[in-house]
Amino acid sequence: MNNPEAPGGGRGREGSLWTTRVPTASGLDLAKVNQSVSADEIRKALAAAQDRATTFTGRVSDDVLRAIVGG
Amino acid sequence: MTSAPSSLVFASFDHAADPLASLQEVPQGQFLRWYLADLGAQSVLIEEKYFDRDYLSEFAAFYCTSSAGYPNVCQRLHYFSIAVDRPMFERAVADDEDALRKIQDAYLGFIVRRPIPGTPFGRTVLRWYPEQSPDLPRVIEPARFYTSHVAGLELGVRGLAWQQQDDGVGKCATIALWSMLHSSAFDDRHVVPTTAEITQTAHRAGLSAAPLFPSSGLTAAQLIASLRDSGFTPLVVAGELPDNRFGRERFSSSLASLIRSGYPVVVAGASERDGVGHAACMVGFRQAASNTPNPGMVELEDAKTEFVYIHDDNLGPAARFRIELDAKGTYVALRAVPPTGKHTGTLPDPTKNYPRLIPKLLLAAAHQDVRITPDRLHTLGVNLGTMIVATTGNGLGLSCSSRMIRLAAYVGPELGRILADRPSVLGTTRLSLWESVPPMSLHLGVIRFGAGKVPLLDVLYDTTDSAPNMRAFCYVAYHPEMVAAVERLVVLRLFDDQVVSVRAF
Repeated sequence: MNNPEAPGGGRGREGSLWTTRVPTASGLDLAKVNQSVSADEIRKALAAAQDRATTFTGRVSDDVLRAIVGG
Repeated sequence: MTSAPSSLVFASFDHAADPLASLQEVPQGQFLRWYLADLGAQSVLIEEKYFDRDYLSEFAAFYCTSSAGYPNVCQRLHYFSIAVDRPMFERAVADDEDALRKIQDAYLGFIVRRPIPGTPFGRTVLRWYPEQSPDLPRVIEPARFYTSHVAGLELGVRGLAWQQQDDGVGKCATIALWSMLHSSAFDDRHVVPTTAEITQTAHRAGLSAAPLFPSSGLTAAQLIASLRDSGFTPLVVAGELPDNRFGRERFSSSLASLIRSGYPVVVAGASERDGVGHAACMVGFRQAASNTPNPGMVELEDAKTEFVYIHDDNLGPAARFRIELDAKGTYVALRAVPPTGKHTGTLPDPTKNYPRLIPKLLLAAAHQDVRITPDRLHTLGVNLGTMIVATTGNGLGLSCSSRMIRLAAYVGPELGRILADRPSVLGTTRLSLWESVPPMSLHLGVIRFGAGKVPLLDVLYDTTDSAPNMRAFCYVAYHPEMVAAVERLVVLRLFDDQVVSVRAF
């Protein structure tokens, strides 16, 4: 599926989302959307992910705000 | 007498006439010597008299009233990877094309040497090491192009300015902020504040009882106030663990998102050795490889970032640090780890015994219209990714990454790169974004999802609104199944029904 000439895009080569081109052929075989999955099931999956989402909510403490940075 | 004229001096790198060779007692001198040796430095051109804007500002603010009688003129050292001598330079300034090209191609950058014996290293811009891993390159988006002029000869280098703290006008926090504001992201602002101006601005709000000069350092609150008063949006990311320490996922994903956006990141924390507060400026990182997540998983690609490049005023420019964890595997610590030396000499390792830094706060300066943080983007990314995965009955696994980018840069170079192999799709995608989507903000927040390293979907967010009202303008799908997934979420009223679909397949 990948273009071997693309930077980071060749099969088996390392790459990342910001260095890989979208492949020329659309042969990427993805899992299909399942129309029987309900809104409630998706909400449950979302609720289960909330612990992880709260990783991105650190608050800066007063101690850190007031500490002198001068090393 | 400092105003007397002087000839240019040409010398071999690291030989007696090279000023750097006489500055080995200063740790930063050791680092610069190592760095230049690895770049293959062969020669140095010395301008004995050079007026440096930053030093003149420091001089006016502090040194001019010292009884030590410091001069106001610096020395500027230009390094080359070939032997540049006077006859060759004379040909170049006479516009001999061969000599000109050789000298310009071999230019490694410059160091301003201040006339302050204990803290001699002023504004310094050096070339990055050559890239040896193009598949997973260094991300150095904040780097910009600097030009120097010597006798009409233009010398150019791409990098980001670094300097040593002088202990009079600026400590580490001032220097870190100064490097940060040199970023290419602020090219449209043109004027970069000097270190003296940064320290003065930080004290303006009366947040400190300490004297202005000599500076004893700044608090994080002063750094934030200084950015706000200078017309930037301060983007603050604090560690989520006790004592504001960072876990790896948050630290690595945040720094990668900001640096990829062109925003260098001031990292403030404490030395692991003695707990003393320290700040430095993160200017690049090594792109992590993407793995295909297991079905049902959403993984932040940047969480695996291993190396970050830091302008540390106590060490040198673009010093490589490894992102490590403490012994219990809980919080992040940064350890200076130089790459294997490429030079053949026996120079001492400048990072030996350099203590680890425990980060507690990340601070970036964003454009005034940018009101979205990496935290918000990553929360949105985890949530949307989880819902998309759920629509497939957890049959799909997604990688996820984020950045902020100017609208023109996204539609232009970024889409041009990602769709380079599909020119007709590229054209229709660009036109769709211009003609089908409501007017978008100058800067976009982009969340990219993929199957491992292969992009599947970009969601483009407005950066100009408050967090609760943050909306996606549109999504760009690179695979039909992504359209099906997002449309399913819209039908189930789990995603904004105003979002525009752009099909790029």
